[in-house]
Amino acid sequence: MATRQILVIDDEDDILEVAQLTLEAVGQWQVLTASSGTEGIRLAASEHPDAILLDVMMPDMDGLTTFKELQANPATQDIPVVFLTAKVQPADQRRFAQLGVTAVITKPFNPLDLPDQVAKVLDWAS
Amino acid sequence: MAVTKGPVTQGLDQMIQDTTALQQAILDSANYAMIATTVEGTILTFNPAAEAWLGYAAAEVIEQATPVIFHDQSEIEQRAQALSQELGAAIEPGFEALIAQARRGETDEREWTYIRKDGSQFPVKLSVTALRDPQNKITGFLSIGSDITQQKQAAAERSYQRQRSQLFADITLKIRQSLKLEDILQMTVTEVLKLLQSDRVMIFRLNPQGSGTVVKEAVAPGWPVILDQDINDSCFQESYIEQYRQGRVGIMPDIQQMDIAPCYVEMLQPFGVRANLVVPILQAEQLWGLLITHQCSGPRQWTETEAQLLRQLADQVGIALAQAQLVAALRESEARFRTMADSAPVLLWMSDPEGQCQFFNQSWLTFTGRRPEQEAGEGWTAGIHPEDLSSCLETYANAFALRQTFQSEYRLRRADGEYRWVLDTGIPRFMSDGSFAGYIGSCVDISDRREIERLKDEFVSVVSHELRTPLTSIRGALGLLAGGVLQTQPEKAQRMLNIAVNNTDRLVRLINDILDIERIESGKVTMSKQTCEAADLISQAAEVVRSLAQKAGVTLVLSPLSVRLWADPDRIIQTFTNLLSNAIKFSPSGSSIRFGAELLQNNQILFQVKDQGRGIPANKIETIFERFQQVDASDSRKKGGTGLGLAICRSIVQHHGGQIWIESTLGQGSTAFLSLPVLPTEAISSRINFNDPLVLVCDDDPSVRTVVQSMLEQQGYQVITVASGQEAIAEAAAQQPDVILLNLMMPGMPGWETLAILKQQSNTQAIPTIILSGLLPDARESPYPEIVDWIVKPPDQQRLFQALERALAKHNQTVKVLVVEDDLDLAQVLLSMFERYGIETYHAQTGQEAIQLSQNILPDLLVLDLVLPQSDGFAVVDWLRQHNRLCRVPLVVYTAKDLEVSERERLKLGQTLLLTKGRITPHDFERRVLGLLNRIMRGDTYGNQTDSSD
Repeated sequence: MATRQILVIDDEDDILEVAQLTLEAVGQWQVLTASSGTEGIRLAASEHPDAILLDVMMPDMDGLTTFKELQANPATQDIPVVFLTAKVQPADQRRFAQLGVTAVITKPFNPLDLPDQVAKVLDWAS
Repeated sequence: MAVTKGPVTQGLDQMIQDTTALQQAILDSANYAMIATTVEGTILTFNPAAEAWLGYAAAEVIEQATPVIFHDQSEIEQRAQALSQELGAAIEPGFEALIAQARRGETDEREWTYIRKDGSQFPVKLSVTALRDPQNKITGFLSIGSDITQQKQAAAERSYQRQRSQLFADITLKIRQSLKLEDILQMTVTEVLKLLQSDRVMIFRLNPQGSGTVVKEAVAPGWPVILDQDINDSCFQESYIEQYRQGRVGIMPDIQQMDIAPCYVEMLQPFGVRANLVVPILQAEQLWGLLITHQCSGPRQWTETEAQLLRQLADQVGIALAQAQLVAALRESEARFRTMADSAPVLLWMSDPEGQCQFFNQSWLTFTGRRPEQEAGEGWTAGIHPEDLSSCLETYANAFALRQTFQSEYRLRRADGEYRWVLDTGIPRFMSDGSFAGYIGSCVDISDRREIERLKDEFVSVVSHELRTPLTSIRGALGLLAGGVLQTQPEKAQRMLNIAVNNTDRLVRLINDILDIERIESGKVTMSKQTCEAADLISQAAEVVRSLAQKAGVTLVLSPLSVRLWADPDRIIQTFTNLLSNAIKFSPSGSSIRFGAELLQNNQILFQVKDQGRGIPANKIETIFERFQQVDASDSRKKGGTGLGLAICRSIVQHHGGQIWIESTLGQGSTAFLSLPVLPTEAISSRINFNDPLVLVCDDDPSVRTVVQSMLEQQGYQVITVASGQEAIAEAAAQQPDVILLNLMMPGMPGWETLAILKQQSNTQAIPTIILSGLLPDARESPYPEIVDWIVKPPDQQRLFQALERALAKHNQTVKVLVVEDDLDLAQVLLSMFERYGIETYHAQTGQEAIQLSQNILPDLLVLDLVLPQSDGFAVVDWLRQHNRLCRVPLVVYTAKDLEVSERERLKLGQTLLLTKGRITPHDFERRVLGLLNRIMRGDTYGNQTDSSD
């Protein structure tokens, strides 16, 4: 089986860097990064990654809008999306679930566990 | 013993005798006055009852008189007259009048007055019959009379009772119907006068001291009127008032005959009183006054019935008084309730037991802008937001069914159409007997509270996000390091360490700022205010950011002002530092930041930090002081801010009684303004501010620079000095001085070369330049088109200043200002202000005129009032916006109106200044507007050149 490819979208460059490092080094996946929703959508459409890790609170286009656009686009609608968010209030979590988000992983995350967590929610056999 | 003499028939003697004896017995024992006469009227029979009633002995009248003697002659005459008419034949007013009808065979039964022998009278009912013989011939007349005195009296009594009942009923009805005490009292005296046929009836109002006033009176003609008279009689007070207090009635049949105090008689005499009857009027067991009836014509034996009547009436009056007092108390209570309800700041409503709302207080009506009749019943529900209507009505109905207190939150439409959240609390009302009376409720506008709660939630959410973000980086970076994943990749490990350290710093700053703002805003941190010097604060703050500025390649230009302040110097320096750091962060390398202060007329100092950075978009300028409201969210990472700096600044400034705001033009820079109250000061050591013209002095000789600088500064110019042509070119580009004074003979780059470069560079070529040289100009006519003037060193002060003014005027020469103001006086003031600066002015009084004039003259600046006849200021701006040549006209809105954010948005054209009449002094207005004009004239020049170079 070919190496999994995962796209991380976050406006925080530092978080992108950490996430990329852990997903590559620990998860042994190929990682694409985007620092805005717009860029993420473009990359998702062109690269069609196996999954997307999406930040919620981003300037300009936030995670929810990005998610909706991904869902609306036939080229990207089948890509599972995991929210990676600092929003931990139950109301937010419920809202995400209603939208049809595959899973939510809260920040801060343990970098050594992150790949496992992602694999688990996506039902990827390691 | 009465005797009868009748005809005697011999043959029937015994029988007759028996019959006669029987008749005699009847006559004797009858309780009727029986009088028989001859046909002519001579009395033949006069029975004992007649004797007893009329006082005549039978012997006196039998065969001696006619019954006419017992009659009232006038009655006989009246009867005769009536009979004459009835029978059509003259009837003599004598015996014939008594028997005429009987003579005709008819029963004659009527009432007559009998006159006794002693002249006294009594009423009788007489039945007169003709006596006939067997041939039916009249032989005489018989009258049988019965004394009807008692029946008459009873009838009179009945009628009197009827009248009394009627009066009583009338008064009670009146009390029930009118509630008007005045009417009730007046009717009482009037009717009592009629009923008792006395001469005066009055109501005497007693005051607590015992004197009093006649408040109502009915008086028979001919007797003195004493209405409204105050009677203050010590005799009455001492002798009689106590008995009335005890509820007793005073009966005086004849004051002249009675054993009463002479002083009392004396008091009553002027009113013509002979007899009186006085009953107390008690109200709540207190003596309120007296109901008095007077007989003036003579003595009067007041009957018990009369006293009783008066007493009952007085009781009714007492009830009326109590009722009136109750009504007054009720009215007052209602008025008090209404006043209270209407002045209450909350919206109040009341419903009846059926749930229909019957009352809304003034606050409610003002809030909804509707009339009571529109709101009544269920009308008020029209104001509920459609989305909230059903839940609101359900809450109401449920509570109503159970008679329970309820609370309901819903949106209610305000008069301006905006829906506001209200908290409606309804409480059931019960009458004293426990029956349900409806609901009373109050609504409080909780929109602001809800908004605050929303903001608080949002803040918590944002803070949580802001804290978790750096933590995520730290946790992630350290986790990777700790997990040993990066052992073979030292660069990546180092990178992760850097990320952890940087984000730790960021987290520390953030936590400090959050704590700081929380402590300042909650008042936990008090400002340690002390006398401090504005100039020191400026230089200290500048010192803090100096290295930051150097790193960013940004020049700080300070214009300190020596003014004493009452402030917390650390906190003010913190604020300045924050403003300066922001300015530095967003300034391009090579630009400058001016930091200075000036004194306003209202005992305020205005600090300004002015940069040439990227500017702030109009839609952000209002929110930039809110927490975590950076212009660009990524700034917090890229520029190291926490998003709380300006919020902290605002809190600090507010704690100093000052204000902070920012004006900005996108792409051209921002100016942060900060006003603080100053301590009263006698002298202001410097009047420098950066709205004064800025002069760049370029001379290699330091002594020349010093002399010229101080000369210019004394005259109110701002000065920057440079020692070389290269510096002059750099500073001219960076600082955009209003004028350049240029020496010619300089080492390195000589003046002419410097001038040439200045005139080549697009961003300096418009700056007027004056040559200040030891050299004399040569004799060419208008030889130097690029220069304004040539002044020979050492400069003559006057000549130098004239040259500077000319240069500045030249700079301003084409400025056209259109003043749109319908107040002619104010317009005149504004126009003359601009004219003083040699500015071309135009005036429009209406919006329409402003639009027309704008098209014709293409003004450089528009000064606009908002409230105008024909098309208001908003309409003018809307129109200008749609026209290419006018959509970027700089605008000064000068209005008395406090503008909403949305209105401010609507008013943006080119560079826009929003100034509020009455909030800004004329001096400040002039300063701010001219400042804007200067910026425009410089900016415009560059703007044009930018266009042409594009």
